[in-house]
Amino acid sequence: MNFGLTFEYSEEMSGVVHTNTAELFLVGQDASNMMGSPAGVCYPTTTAEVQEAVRWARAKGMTFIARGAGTGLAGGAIPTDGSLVICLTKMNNIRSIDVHKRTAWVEPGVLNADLSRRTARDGLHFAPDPSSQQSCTIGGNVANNSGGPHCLSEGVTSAHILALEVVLPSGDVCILDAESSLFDLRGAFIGSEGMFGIATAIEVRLVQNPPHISTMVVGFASVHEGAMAVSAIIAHGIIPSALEMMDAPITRAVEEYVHAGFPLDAAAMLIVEIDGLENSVLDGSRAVKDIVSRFGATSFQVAQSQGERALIWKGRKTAFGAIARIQPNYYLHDTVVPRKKLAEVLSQVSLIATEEHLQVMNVFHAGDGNLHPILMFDKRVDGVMDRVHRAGAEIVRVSLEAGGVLSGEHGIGLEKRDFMRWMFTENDLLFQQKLRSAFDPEGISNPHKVLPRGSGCSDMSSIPPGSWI
Amino acid sequence: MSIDHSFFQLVQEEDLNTCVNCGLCLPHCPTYRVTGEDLYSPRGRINLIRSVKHGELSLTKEVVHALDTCIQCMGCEPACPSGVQYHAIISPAKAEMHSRWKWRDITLRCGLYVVTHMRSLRIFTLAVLLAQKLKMVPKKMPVPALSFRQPQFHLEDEDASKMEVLLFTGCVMDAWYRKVHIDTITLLEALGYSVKVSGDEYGCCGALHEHAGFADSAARMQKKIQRPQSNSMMVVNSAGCSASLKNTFAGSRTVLDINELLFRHITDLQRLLVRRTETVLIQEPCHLRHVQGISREVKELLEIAFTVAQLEDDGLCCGAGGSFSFSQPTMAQAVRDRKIEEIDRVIHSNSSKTIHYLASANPGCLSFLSGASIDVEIVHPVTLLAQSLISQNSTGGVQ
Repeated sequence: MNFGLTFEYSEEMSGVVHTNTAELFLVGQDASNMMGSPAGVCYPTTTAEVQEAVRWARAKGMTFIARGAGTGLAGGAIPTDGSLVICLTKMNNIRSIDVHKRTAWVEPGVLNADLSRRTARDGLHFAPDPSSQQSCTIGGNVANNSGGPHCLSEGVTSAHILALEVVLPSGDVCILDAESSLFDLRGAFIGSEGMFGIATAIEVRLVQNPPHISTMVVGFASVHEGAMAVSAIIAHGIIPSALEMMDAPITRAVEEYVHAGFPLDAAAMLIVEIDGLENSVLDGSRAVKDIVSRFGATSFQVAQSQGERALIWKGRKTAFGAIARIQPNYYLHDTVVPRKKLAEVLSQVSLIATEEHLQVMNVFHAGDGNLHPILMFDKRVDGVMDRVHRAGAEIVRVSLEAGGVLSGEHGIGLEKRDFMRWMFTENDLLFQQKLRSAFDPEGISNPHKVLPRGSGCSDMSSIPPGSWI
Repeated sequence: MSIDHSFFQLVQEEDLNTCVNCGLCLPHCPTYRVTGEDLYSPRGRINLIRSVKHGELSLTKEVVHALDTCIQCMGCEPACPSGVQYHAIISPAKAEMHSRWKWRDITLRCGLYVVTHMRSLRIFTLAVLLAQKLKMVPKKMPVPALSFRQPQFHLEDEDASKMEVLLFTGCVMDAWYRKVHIDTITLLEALGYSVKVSGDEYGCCGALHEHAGFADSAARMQKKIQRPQSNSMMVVNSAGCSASLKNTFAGSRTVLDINELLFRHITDLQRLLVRRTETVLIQEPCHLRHVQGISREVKELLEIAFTVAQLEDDGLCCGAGGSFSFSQPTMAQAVRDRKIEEIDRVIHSNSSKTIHYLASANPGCLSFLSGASIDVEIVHPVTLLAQSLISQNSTGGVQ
């Protein structure tokens, strides 16, 4: 199929590559607070068209960037340097589902929740369930190696991708899987944030829907006690399917919207979910109840129906959006700390926010120590962005000092690119850059992301206006 | 390029600020669903309006098109965790574009005039009817099959001991779906109400104009509606109209959608309706589900008499959107195609029984879906319920 990208640039203004200001303005943004500067956007519908777009960008000396639903929070989809945005939302077919093998081939624009909805009739689902799962694309999940509440027991995206069809920055197509080559390049590609090329078809693993589920909501008198209970549950040998914490301010904001019956008087609440066979769910729930009461649980509710359970998860998964009920802007942070340091780091986060005169709320995957402090602000207030930047950097610093890492699931993108040196040595970075160059020697696929300037060769540009840190 | 700073000043800053760009609205927007383009999403439209208002972006033809193609189904509102009042953003923006460029939508304006004024509507209906008889109307025209013999209202005599309700008859609903009114009256009388009809005294509620962005005409009609001195409860069987009338009266008069009222009598209806063997698939009108939050009511009412099947598309719009299918036919048909695909999936899925009816409680959806080829009969749920009344079935069988 001729995608039409064979004319001179000027003639394409009204053609396949859209260059109008309105569209460029919109695809220059994602769910972060940054703003990019794309030169054009196109919407391929087939692998061949993606190839054509990549080759065309190369021929024009342009860089390119893949885009899904634009729900990323680290600026991974922010186009820099007049990139061509290759938007994959129109490639949204589920190509095949093999119920016996429990696998499916999907296109990158398929929405995460749509896939699970489609396979629900066969009692199967796609396990990674980021909070944005109703909107985000599987292609985006692959790029960011996304997590989600239920990844505690099921593992993150990389554990659920079997093979990838990839358009390389050269324009060639190849299949990456775990078996057919010496190295597991599939594993290398997942989480590469669009720097290794564009996945145009994805083979996913589907897992069985659990026969029994128990979803518990537990209130605590302090964040500290809640955090201690989290450590104790895991230490006891129970692996809940999800173990989430919300502090009092976010619980109040969310409850106002979902009316899930969350404990409004608690300083922190945990959502603990156990699934599996009936008896093991019963045993697990009983053990959880014992443990949380030892840590002074102030309330303990169990979802009595699928409807109640759905409401609890709706509350948890839309929590970050509910923030606009308090302040117009937010910075949703993402770091990981060892579980036993949770309480300590949380109190440091709270101190940092107080020092910068910012409100902070916490909603996070407690089970794997993945913090999501949310700084709230109104960006129209003078000087507030500086305070937010400083607080953000400080949160990264205390998390790393506690033995944590830069990002749990949002990725590095632009947001944390310049923190990479806080965590990795020059040698680490050099080898990461070498891997990247193996896929993309010219650095034209999503340039300026993840790897800090100077760690390699080609990434030499300014950070786009409005970007952070 | 010079940028006009004077646009969208009526859109409130607080409403714009509530949107945090998270994107959770995207899958709930029918136009984003069919295009996959940010330009046609609620988040995108809010962003455009904000930037034009702030003078960061000029009002280009793409911005205008993005706003024109919003169906205003409000599917994004219940999906938004931030509680963005999207209608408070898009309505004034659309109204402003219409009032600034009066000539741009002159055909639509004339069309709306014709179908919402009783005299012209009757002439137009007669013309369409003649054309239909002469087989000159394309099948796809979203007007139901009309008949020379318009059924007449036979109201019971006034009875002071019964509670009086006013059935709002409206414009198109009365001219093209009189049968639904008759069925509504049958049900209401069976439930012990004394029914009056609003007729020409009230005229049209102005929902179509309001929806299309013709705020001036809408205001005129809303004024007329409020003129009659009556306080009896108003019952409306068109979801678009009931949503609009609730706003018009803003509590000064009780307005109920028929599904709401019938649901209050669900135990009576369990006694009054016969059990039937057919299966009904529900298509939920946006102005019922998203705007008025009425969803399970329709399902539970129909379940008294029927087996009920549901679509699995989160109540995504069918593309009708008042006059939207006339003003933006390409987008409307793309949205409808997606709906039909889902309807077909349910009809042909192995797990569900044979589907006999597709029920939708809004004339816009009824007529727009009739214009597509669907294998089942498309009806208003009230008609199905009225046909299932024991009294209607005493002479034998379901009609």
